[in-house]
Amino acid sequence: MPNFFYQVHFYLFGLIAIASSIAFVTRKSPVAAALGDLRGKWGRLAAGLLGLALLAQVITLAGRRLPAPFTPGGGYDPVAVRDLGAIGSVAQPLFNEYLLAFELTSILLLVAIVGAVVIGRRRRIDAR
Amino acid sequence: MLAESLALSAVLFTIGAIGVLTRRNAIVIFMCVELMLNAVNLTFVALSKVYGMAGQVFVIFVMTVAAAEAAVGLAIIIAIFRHRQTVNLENINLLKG
Repeated sequence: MPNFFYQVHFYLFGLIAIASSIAFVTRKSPVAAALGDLRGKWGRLAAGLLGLALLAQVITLAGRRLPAPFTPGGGYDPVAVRDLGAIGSVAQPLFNEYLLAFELTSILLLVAIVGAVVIGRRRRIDAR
Repeated sequence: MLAESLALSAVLFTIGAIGVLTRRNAIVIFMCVELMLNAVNLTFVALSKVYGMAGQVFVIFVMTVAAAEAAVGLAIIIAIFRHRQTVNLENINLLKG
């Protein structure tokens, strides 16, 4: 159950970060309209108090008993999971059985980055 | 847990598909496609508990392809916006036969 609270808090922090950035970037956003002027004194005070409350909640939750260790389902090889851990048992097939696919996706990413830069760059009017 | 995960995945995929089919804003359609990809990722992870690790490895590949698609797609949308001053697909019919 604490796992659930961790996840909820992580998502909550993420949402607050997104909402804050939207509210600060544009005042026309519905978030800013709903919350009013966040740059004012009261807005900062409320944000600080909210942040402190969330921090206290996270610290309280972190002090609780950790969730049960990772228990693999029926599809996993329990020996491999026990020996390699959760991350290692994903990495094992990734860098052995699917190594070629891994290399191909790296090339795909590189081509996509170059393509995005080429397509997205602003062309000068006098450039040929 | 498997049934709930698959149900959530189906809901996410349906929302994405409805968004792709009904909305006309290119960026919204783009986000809906990403939603569909993430729904498929959720299915992979959920079923990997039954069928083995390959599902989780495939999620990494799907995320890589999604990242590449996002990079190129956003660049194309930016280029179209510079050219047409809009990202509404009703007004972008250059490839229409």
